[in-house]
Amino acid sequence: MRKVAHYILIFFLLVGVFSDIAYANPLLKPLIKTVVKSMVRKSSRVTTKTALQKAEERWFARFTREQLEDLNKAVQRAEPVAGKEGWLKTAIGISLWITGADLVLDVVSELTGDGTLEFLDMPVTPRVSLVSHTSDTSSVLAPLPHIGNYKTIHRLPYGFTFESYRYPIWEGHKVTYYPVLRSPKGNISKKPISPYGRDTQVTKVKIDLNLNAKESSIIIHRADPVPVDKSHPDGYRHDYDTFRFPTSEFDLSNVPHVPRSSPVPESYKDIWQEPITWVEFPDPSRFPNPDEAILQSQPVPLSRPLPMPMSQSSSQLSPPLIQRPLTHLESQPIPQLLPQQQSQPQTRVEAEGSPDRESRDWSHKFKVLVTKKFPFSLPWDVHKMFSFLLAKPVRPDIVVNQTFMGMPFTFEHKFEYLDSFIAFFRSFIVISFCLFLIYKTRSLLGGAK
Amino acid sequence: MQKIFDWMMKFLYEFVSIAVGWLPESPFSEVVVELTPFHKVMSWINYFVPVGTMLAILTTYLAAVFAWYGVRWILRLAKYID
Repeated sequence: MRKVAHYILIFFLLVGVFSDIAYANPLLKPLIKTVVKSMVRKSSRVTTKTALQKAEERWFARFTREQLEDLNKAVQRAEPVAGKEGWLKTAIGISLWITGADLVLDVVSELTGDGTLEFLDMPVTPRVSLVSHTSDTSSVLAPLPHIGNYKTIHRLPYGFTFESYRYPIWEGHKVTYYPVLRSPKGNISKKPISPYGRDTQVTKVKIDLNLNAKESSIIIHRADPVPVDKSHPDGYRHDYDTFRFPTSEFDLSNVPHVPRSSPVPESYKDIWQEPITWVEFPDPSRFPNPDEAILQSQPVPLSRPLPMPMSQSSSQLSPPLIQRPLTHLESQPIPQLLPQQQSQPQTRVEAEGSPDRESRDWSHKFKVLVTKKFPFSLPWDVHKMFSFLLAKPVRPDIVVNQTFMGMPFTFEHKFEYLDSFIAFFRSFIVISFCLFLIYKTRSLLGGAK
Repeated sequence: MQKIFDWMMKFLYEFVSIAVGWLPESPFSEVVVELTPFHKVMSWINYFVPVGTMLAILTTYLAAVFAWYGVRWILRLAKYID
């Protein structure tokens, strides 16, 4: 019985951590859908049902995209030779994906560090909105080799650095003391927390440095973006970690109390513009009343952001989007939708206004879905081939306008004179063909005995 | 009722899209693009020889032949003919 409970726990752990992959499984999809809808309903304050539906759709749009990525990954994994296509290999990859064996492989590959996806595929826009007890702090993102991994490094006063890292399964933080422009002196804390389940969080780091005392402390305060207790205005789950360290071990005499800001790395400037606005949590300027509606006609996305390609220029992102304070609901960037995805909402709006139209479109949608996929496309392929044979008759006018050995060679011949006779000629051929068929019918059918 | 129908169709569409999404693209789609110049030549041929009309007649004829084979099988089954 205990064993079964463990298996169930592991199952739900896997489903929770790899929800996007589990969502691809037809058996797990309804469960994930129910959970996601419940989460969206709990975490969003909406005034209209439409806003809630749109918020849910954004979640599922994200899931759909991740499904495709996972399927690609599954297929790639099944290819012993990269870049070589093969039906068997593809079938193996898809089978892994369908049966959920992919989940296990994902865990193994991430644990062993065999992930092949690049850092640029992950959403590198900061997921954490930070609050420090001084406003003059800065953060940089440290690229890690695998998707889902990221590390934020926050410069703190007095030469301390707070690293928040997130590996595939584990997340944690580390506070390191760096005397300015020197090598790291030592780690104050390192606390892995397993497993991570929060995509956004707000972290406050407070350093109570007492140079005259033997011991100083660092308090790391983290809060979930989703309120647990709605009845209380600050009903968010809080997590406090307090670390005490002997002050005498650190040479703090030459440490400036106001740290220098580290500039945002050049490669991240397109997605992360300066200055970064540090906000309180919940941001009082954006979220004065917890009960007010956040999602109006233009709801902010609640889902995890879509991977944002690094090649996008900063001009494509509106400055207010980057610089404005982030609330617990807005701590995610607005996903950069693909053109295909961008067209979906418009279609949906049109369909909402006319339910009949949506019903009529179903046949077209299914047709589009099927006509391009092998082997269902075969009838349409045959039709296309025949459509070439059924080309509309066009009189062939020969026009040659070339230069041959420096001499102009122009020749033009039009078959206009055939127009009056060609109809008769074509009719004659058709009649001959029909007679041929009639003649051959007896040999084809064999006749009655 | 309309909403239920749409919901069912949406569910079916999602299911089918996932199922069909695993399938590869049609291998003949590129062939069709490459055959575009052939379309022009075929137009000239059709000016002289009505290939399209002949194909339509042939298709109807073959359908009639297959129908006959079906009827013949039924008649033999009923022992109306040998």
